[in-house]
Amino acid sequence: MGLVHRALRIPGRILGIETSCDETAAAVVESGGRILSSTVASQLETHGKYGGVVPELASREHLRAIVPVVREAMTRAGLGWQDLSAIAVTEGPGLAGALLVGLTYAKSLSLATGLPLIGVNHLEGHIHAAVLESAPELPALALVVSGGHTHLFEVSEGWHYRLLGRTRDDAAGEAFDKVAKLLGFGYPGGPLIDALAPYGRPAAFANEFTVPRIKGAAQDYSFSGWKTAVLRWTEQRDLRAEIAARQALFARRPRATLDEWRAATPPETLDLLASFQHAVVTELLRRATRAAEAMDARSMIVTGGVACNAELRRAAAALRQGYPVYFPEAKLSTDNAVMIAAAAFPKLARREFADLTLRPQPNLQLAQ
Amino acid sequence: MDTRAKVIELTAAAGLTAKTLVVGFFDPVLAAHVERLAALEGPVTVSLLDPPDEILNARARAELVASLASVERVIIGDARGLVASPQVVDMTAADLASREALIARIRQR
Repeated sequence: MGLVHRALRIPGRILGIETSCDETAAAVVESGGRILSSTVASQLETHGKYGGVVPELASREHLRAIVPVVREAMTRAGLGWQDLSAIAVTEGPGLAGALLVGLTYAKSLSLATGLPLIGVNHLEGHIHAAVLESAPELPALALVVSGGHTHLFEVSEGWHYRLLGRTRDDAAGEAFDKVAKLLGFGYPGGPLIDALAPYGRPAAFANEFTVPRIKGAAQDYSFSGWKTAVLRWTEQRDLRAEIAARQALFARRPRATLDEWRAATPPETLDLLASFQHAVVTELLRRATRAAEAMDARSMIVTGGVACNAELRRAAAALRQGYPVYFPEAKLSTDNAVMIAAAAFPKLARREFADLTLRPQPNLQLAQ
Repeated sequence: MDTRAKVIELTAAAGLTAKTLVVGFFDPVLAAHVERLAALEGPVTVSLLDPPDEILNARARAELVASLASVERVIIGDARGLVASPQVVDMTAADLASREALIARIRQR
């Protein structure tokens, strides 16, 4: 039996603030894992029409949302500043201008209230989101997979991290979104591919997605080749009319229903989506299980926005490798501030506080 | 204070007075706007118009402008003729030019 870490036992209440990409979020968490409030303002509608996050607009939307979002989190928790132990904020990785808004606000709050400030790595936040109310046996293998990140970490006792592998090019979630965009689906495309894939046959175009061989790093991922494979696939067929029809559907109805998308997607394209998703999920778990085996992991953590993907959840839960697999609940898989507050508790216990020189670190690493 | 309280609808604008009335799109707010507004004789009231093919919606733009200390209030809509002001500054042409420059820079990436 391995050591059991219980962040749950650390007393105190932390206000978490997260603005690393396109969600403005604030949350209050008590005793390491009890959620008192969680507020998230999404900018999906602002960025949707551009097919991706526009950093210049993201920082402006954060600026607009940060005050009401934090106020709402505090009101819902029913707390005043005097009830808090610390303020935690994402310092990176993320968009510089977006991070700056949350950091500046958190620093101002810390200065005004006298509460200690804790800088949190966004990736560490995602890992904590999966183990909020559980106590995974460590060491654990953590697969952090989202639109911006695809990393494998070894998590050892005391929340120490070692990087085991990462993507060489596109993040898995980015590959989902780019493939969706290529085929005329709206943004973000990942959830839509997830919803449409069950209507296609995952074996139909499996040959299009051969696993890239990467020299030197057996545990690194690469997804950009599969995006090219989809592009080639569309070029081999004349899909211009089909793609244009979907683009028109998205322009007309940004919130089209699944039935409307299905009506605009012939069986062969559904087969491609199913094959692509199956290939990504298989590849994510293939390297993750191999890494877990190599480090003799006692549990696996799958987290980040792509952890919402139904096939990934199903496949990971069915791994049967002899260790449990932990996922965050769906609303804690995507960016939120609960995870930032939760990740700050071990730092609160160690009194690892930041001062007002804390700066945004767009390329912050969690471990080497 | 909650600076969103500085945003008012056009229907509530009639009869207001302002030292300076600024008319513009603020789509989006740029550093140059902040400098220009701060240099004007206050209190400044902003009348926020809709540009063709807006980037951010009017409410978003209004809240951002309202958060500036140099701005007393933001009226969503064309308040010329409704607000009594000895000085009217029209920023619309400059706004369109700076917006085009921003879009070009983003597309170049």
